[in-house]
Amino acid sequence: MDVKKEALRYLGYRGKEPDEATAELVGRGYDELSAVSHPRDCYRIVDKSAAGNLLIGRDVAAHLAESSRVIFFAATLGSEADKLIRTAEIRNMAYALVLDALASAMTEAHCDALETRLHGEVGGFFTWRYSPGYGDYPIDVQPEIIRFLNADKLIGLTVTESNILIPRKSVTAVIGVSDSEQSRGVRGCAACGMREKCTYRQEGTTCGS
Amino acid sequence: MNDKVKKLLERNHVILDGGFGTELQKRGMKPGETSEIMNFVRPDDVEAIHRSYIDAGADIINANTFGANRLKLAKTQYTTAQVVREALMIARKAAEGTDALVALDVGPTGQLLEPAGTLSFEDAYDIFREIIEAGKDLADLVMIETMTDLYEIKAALLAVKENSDLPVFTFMSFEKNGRTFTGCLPSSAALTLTGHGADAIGVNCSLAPDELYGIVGEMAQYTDLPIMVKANAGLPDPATGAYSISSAKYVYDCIKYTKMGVKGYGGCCGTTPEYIRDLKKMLALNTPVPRAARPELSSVCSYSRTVDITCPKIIGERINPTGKKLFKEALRNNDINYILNQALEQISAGADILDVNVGLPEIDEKEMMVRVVKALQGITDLPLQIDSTKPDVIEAALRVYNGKAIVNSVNGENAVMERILPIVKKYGAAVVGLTLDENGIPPKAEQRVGIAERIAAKAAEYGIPKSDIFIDCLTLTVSTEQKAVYETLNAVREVKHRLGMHTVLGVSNISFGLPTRELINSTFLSMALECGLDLPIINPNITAMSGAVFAYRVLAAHDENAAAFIERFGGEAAKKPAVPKAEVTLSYAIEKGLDKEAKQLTAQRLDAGEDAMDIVNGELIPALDRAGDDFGKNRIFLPQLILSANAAQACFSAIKEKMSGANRISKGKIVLATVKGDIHDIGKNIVKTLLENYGYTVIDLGKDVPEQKVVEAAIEHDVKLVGLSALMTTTLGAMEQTIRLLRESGHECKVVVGGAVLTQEYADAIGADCYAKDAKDTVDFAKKILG
Repeated sequence: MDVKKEALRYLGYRGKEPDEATAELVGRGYDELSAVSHPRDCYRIVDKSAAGNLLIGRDVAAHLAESSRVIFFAATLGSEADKLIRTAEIRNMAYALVLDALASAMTEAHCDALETRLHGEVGGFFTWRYSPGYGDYPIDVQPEIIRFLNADKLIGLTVTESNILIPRKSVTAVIGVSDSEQSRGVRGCAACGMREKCTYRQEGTTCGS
Repeated sequence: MNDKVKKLLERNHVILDGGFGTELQKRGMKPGETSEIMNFVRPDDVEAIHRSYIDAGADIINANTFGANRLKLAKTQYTTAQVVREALMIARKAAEGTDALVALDVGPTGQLLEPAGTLSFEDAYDIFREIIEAGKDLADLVMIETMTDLYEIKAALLAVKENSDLPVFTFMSFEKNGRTFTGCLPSSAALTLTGHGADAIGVNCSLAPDELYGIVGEMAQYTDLPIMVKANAGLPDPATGAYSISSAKYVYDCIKYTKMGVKGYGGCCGTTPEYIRDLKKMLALNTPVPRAARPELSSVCSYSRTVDITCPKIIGERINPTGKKLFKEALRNNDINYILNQALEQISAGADILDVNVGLPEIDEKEMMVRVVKALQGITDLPLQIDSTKPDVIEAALRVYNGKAIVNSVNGENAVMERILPIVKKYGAAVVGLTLDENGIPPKAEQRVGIAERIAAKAAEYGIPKSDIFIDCLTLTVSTEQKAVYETLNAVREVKHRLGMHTVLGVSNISFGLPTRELINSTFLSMALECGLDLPIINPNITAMSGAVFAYRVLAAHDENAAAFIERFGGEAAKKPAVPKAEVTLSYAIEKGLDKEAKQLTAQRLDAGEDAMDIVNGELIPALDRAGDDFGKNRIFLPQLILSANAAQACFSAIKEKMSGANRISKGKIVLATVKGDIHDIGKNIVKTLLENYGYTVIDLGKDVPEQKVVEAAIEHDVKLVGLSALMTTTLGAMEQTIRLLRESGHECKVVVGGAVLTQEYADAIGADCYAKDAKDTVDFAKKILG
């Protein structure tokens, strides 16, 4: 993934070249974020039957229907990125906005890299990654996932009482693993809670995730 | 400290226990199950694990209370007190008939504290207080462990010290990069925990023994307390959960700690009684050596930056309302961002420490000080100097400060020292000592040195070392007392070289009443530095001042190869302030987001006698409107729109600087808040930026704002428009409730709502007056309501 391009896409530049000032902010932001952030992750692989209390709702069950094992993972960009964004908000909101988009893109890029690594280590066939908040998979499951992964101890990932992950640029997700070929499951618009009001869809495109 | 623990620490080593959660899992606890529940469902297993560690040789066992706090137990049927007492009783039973001591084990709350997270320092303190209250009569000591946030461990340590007499050992967990997850340094941890009264400090969890040498070594440079190490047995395998390091390797790698003088040895995740037994055998053959004497060092710190005063360091003086109209106005209006901007400006100008003074007769100084300290440590890691004369303000600030601060100040007057020094000691701060007393400022250098000696002696009575006192020999104004300059300088020299203490000095007073003050100031600064001034308090934004310090560090051979000097000033010629070209008009500057040019052009036109409102209405607003229109039509994107807003903001600040009352150009007040439970506030902040640059005054209540607080603010400021933001479906309920309470209050106002999950239909359903799909929409609605 080209993190800068992806960030520009989040900022609304769909295929359009950014103006000079924005391009400068993106370049500077990328360098500064790369310098301060410490992406970390942790994961566990278990039989699907052993993860029943973490798999709530119809949609995630359907997603993992053909999988025998599941990988839960958590990834975070770390609290330094949050601090950088917070500080930028005081002096230059445009820069803060750009940093926010870049940090989201970096987190996704880290998840992609982790998935590739996992595939090398675990083998078999993977579904797409599926996160709390997709479909009817409730975000109330976040504290349980954090505890199951021991993620607060291993990577410093915590969750607030309203189930928001802290540090902010973080992801938890589950991937289904099968020894034989399986459907990768739904991804993109079908799994997305925002599909009814998405500006990409209104324009006839998708966000691509 | 009680005798049993004291005796134990007098021995040349202490053996602690090993992993607990991993032992419970071996006995059948499932991953994700709550360890503390095992005190009730598997009490025999818990006792057996304790017993096995005592048999292996542990001098202290940790009760199974690591996660026994009200946040982590919320979803169980047990209270903190039930779990703490049950666990301690099991541990006591296991220790019966042995010499083993029982520790109340305290782990993290599981939530991150503000500003990174949402848990307040005060709430964290209360959570820990509850644990201590519950267990203090059953425990021999408290062990605070696995902390990665210095702020959280400080809350826990204060809770122990203020609610019990128990000895307390504190452990933090570091990563391979030498910091904790939240960026805390070993040096900052050692300074802060030592200062706040821990009885031993150490590291546990996260890494293997051979990965912690550097971290433990750094801690040892910053404390005289006993140091303890409880490492992990490597890392768990993601599939099997097995740890990677054998007992033999673990213990072998611990031998090096005996050579470093480490006092306490134990284990964390993955270690078992076998590891502890082997540690005991190893320690029988390898007696830990006494710790090497450490260099006498004066240091202050935030959680993530330690400043050693080994060469002159700049204390920035700009966070102070004295003689500053805009600063006073910001304090009255609760405009924290203005103050944060003052901090950021000084940081980029090269400040090492920031003085913080928010005293103004008409505001609540204590409340403001706490707010400002919390906000500052959210955006900067420079250590702070708390500047107030009021003991309650100083104490409130030190309490919420995440590190080792400086208190400014005490003086030679006994009554003042007796009021302030106990607070300095309690919170482990350093302190500025002014060389004056009830008789005023003595004229002669030797008299001031005498007061410095008195301050040091008095501080010693409270246990404050000389290295934590910075003496201010006081600058008088040269235009009234020309001969006094050398008295000050001689006093600085004596205090520094004869008393061996560090010195601090406010510099700018010297030039009062003279023209080109900068010349006098920077020359005096250079003279003082050469006499031994360590901590000049200056305005670093003036290059002649900060530059003198940077230059001195080169000339006195502190700045090796002039590296820092070249980094700061090497590009100077290239970055001359941009001079607007003739074709750059104000409108163009705003549309293109050229903030410096916009500010300069505004200032020029004001100087030429143009009316401020004419500039605002004639150029600023229309230019912003055009940018907004382009944004609406997808011709430009959000970053560009905000860049334009920034440029407009620069124009407004030029206008504010020229006009006496900034409120004169306000087009009306708006309350903004991100609703309760939600902390996604970047959208709200974008709206704020835009509204402010259309001339509205925004009362920003922040994020996670309780419903009632919005209502109170709307009434207090008598606003006609309230903006609410929510990003998650789960917090829309809080938005609806806020609107309901606003309506019920009877206060007449319109409500505009926005945020990713909102729709027009939903906005209608919860009774909002307007749904804004973006920041521009909010501005349009504000114009309709407020004009």
